[in-house]
Amino acid sequence: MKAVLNKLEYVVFRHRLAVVFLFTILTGLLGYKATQIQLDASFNKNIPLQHEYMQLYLKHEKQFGGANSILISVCDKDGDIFNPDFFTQLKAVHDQLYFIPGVNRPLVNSIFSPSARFVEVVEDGFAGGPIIPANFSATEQGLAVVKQNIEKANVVGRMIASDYSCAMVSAQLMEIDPQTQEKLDTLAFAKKLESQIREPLSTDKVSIHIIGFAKMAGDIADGAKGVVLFFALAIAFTFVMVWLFCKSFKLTLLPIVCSIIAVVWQMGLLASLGFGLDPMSILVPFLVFAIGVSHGVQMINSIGKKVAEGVSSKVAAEASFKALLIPGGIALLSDTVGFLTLLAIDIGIIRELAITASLGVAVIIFTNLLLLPILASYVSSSKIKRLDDGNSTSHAVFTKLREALVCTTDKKWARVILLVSAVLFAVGYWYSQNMRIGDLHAGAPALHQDARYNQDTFLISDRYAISSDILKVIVEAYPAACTEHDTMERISRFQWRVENLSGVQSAVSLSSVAQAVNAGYNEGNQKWQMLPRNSASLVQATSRVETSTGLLNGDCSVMPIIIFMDDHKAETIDHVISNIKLFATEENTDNVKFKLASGPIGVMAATNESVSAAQLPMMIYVYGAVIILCLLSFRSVKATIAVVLPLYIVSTLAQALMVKLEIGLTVSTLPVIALGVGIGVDYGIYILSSMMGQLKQGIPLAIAYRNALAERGSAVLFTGITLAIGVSTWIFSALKFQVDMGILLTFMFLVNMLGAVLLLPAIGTLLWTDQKKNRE
Amino acid sequence: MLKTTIASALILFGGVANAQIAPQPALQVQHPQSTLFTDIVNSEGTLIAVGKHGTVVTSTDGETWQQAKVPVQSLLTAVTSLGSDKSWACGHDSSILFSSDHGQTWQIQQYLPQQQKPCLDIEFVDANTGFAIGAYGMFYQTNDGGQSWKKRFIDDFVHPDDKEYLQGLKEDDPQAYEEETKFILPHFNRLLIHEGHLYLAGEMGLVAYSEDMGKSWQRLDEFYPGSFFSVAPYGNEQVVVAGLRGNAFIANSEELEFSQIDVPVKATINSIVNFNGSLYLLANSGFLFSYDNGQVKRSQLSSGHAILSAVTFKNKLVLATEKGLKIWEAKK
Repeated sequence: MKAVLNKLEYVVFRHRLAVVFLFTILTGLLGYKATQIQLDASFNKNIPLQHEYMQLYLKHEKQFGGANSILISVCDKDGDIFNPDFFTQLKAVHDQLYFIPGVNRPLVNSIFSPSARFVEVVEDGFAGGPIIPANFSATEQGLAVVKQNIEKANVVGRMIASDYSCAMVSAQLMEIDPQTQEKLDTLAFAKKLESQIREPLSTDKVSIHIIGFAKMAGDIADGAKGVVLFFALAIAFTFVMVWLFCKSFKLTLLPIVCSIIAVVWQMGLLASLGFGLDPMSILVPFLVFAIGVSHGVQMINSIGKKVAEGVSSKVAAEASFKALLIPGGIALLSDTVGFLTLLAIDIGIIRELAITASLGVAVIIFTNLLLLPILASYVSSSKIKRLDDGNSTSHAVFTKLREALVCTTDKKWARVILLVSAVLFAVGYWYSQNMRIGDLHAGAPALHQDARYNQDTFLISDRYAISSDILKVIVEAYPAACTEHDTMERISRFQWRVENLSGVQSAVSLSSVAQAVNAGYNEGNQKWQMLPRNSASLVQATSRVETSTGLLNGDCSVMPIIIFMDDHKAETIDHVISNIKLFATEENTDNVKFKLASGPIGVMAATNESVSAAQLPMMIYVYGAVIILCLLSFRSVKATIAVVLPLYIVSTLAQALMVKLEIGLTVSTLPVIALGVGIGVDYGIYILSSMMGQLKQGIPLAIAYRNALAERGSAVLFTGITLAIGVSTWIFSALKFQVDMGILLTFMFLVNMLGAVLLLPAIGTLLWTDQKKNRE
Repeated sequence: MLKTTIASALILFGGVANAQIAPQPALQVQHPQSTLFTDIVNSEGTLIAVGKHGTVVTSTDGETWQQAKVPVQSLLTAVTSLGSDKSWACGHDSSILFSSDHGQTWQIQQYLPQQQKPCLDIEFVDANTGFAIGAYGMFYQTNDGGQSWKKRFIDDFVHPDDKEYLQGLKEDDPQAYEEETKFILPHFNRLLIHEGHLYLAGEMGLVAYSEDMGKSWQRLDEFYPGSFFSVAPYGNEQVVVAGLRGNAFIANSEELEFSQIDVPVKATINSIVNFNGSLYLLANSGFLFSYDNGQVKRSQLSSGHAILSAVTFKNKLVLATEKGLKIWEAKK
């Protein structure tokens, strides 16, 4: 190991210019690439495509539409839609939406669509027609006819708000354009919803409200762009802090610039690999910066101290490189491997995050452990010397603090700390057991409650009987299954049971529509709202239902049951899904199967199940990577325990904090736990690697710890506080998601740091008990 | 080996066949009061409402409802009560149910799904004599409180030429007679027992009455070709029939010369109830038309849900609608 390190040092520091040159070229190239990186969101990326629900979803997506829908509610501000202006705007919205690329045109649905028809019973049979007659003119008479047709067509609550104040235009989006074979650009689509529909078509009298995944992704991306400002703020703040720390402008520049280079490389590599940056993982570049600064500060701290001892900056840089490459490399490598293990989770966005984060952390090894000392070696030592100015007040404060920290190795204090930690852990563990999977709030949890999108969501769920919270159970049977009473009766019974679950607003299926049609055939008498037992009558009742309703396929061997739910909170979904599983086992026969699931709620249910299933393996992978790398580098079980135990306690506390903040475990928040481990592991490894050499020689814990603090403690304290303050500015973000992440990360930066300086030595008192004896 | 296979297959198929016909008890659910209700009755202060999925619910305050134990899942279409210990309900699969405990639990008196005819109304003269009527002239009568129900074919409604032919067929070929009479008659939608008279309203403008407790029937000359769904008394001297597309007619119960009531909306009228001294015609799209000495006023449920039946309860109406039960008060 030593030999390799010496060789490396020799090669690198003998060819400093070449190395700097190489880094400049690479940074130029990757920087150019990085400018091409795009924000990128896609629906399928958020889906666990291998989950059995999603296999079913993909199987029937073509026939019954996907879960990626858009709802546009056009509302009259006076609360009555029956006026000429409103109908002009509604028709314009329908037509505009129809022509936006990416929309599945046959499924654009409103009272203006040709499939919107009414049927009424008259003395000699049925009469019917389109809701909007062919000769429609927006006169008082014409509108009165439309109003009657709307009532007859039974679309109030779906296409028309229950209080007649709004009308709905809905559409489904296609992930791949069938003509151009191009992938849907969700964010561009969201922009078009604004520029081609909301902006031009809103008037003084008519307001437009848009919800759906594409719109949500668009709004999140807009909010996420604000992160650039916070990024700049954090950099500026970090700069000031580092300057206060080292009092040297040039030295201050080093960790900042090297960390920014790491971010540039990461973005460039991502773009080269063909990835975009998802709005939900936009905080990863910041994390890379933060981790980079953490290592960079260790490096300049070490160099500064060595220069203060009187050596030249080049010698100091070489020595620091040798001293820190191993602990820094181990910390970064364990982060990288830890993040890479996230690849095992079969959800596109998490895999992307795994790649984004592990790439970012891996490049820090080059930029901050290699480039930084080389650049530092060019800084004249006179500029650095001020760093360890022994007489400054800050130094005095730090010395006092250090002595206070060393007390943690005292048996009495150690016991107190261990006890407090144990209690905190117990409370945190108990609390974290309440961690909920999925979204805990209605609307889009990534956005603030008063965000336009969430306000629109609330308006739509207020005024309509339906929402976009749709679950589809797909009944897979046999050809012409809808002509057999037993099968249809099963569907009817299943639907009746589902409709009685709390959280379910209503449901519709071919069976329930056929019952209504049967009543229609019997003069509209509701006493005939049932399924005829003989096939001939049943065929009559079902044959009137078109496949365009999405309730059956061509030979009615597949019949979805569409379930409208109150909301998409995790517990609502859990309750409904678990009951449906029970009903399905009771109603399934050899050739009639009730299968989960499609629709937006089906997707969420699958995602929730995948997230829940991924939680434990992910923790095992991440901790596994950290443990193995610690074992390899320290060659000591004790050291590994001392590093990993505080880490585990802190991440448990972080989970408890998530519960407290009502953040559910979702595709976007799941990796945070892994990231937290990555952030936290640095501190422990730096402190302990400094102590290990001494401990192995039998030097008592207190002394080893005091030396470690003198060597690296100030840098640890400094980075923890600086990064925590930097991240805490996210509380002012336009995205609720970033606010939550800001709080979580602030917590992790701070508490992990405390874990390393307080808990680690206290645990040490239990592990290295016989140091003195050896020494004596 | 083969024999046992065949035998077990036979048993299996026999089992399936039986399973298809055997009644299944109604599911106990969380929100039984939200389904389609077709009829409601006040049984000495206990409201009993019947509807879809074999749902029967009872209430003593009109607001909280308990689901009854019902042995069938068929859509129930009518309920009648003679007091706390005698209630009957009927519905699809020609099912007739009986309850002796305020409608809490029900027993099957008749269940004939293979007939594929629904019972659409059930009425009792007294504890022994009752009638269950329904689709295609279905007519059952009991004289022992429903212990046994006897099917009758009302040939008074058959064309005089057909009557002779059927009479001949009945003696020569009972099976062919059975086939012929299966679907020959119009639907019987509603039965009224009033002042010793029976009134029957049904499909294709059918209005008939019987002065001898149903032994013989007189059909009135057609005055409207569409279907009637309801017949009710108005005061002591008048009778009202109503049905498809807002068609309602009133006549003196002696002469039975019907004249049309001017209903402002073409909504099908499902039931008629006396409430607050007025007659209320309950219709689809949530319409209620009050009739008071030639004056018709309309109101409408905001939900627009079809009203199938109603019962007066504590100066209010409890409505049975296509989407549940609802208390309604007349506007002052």
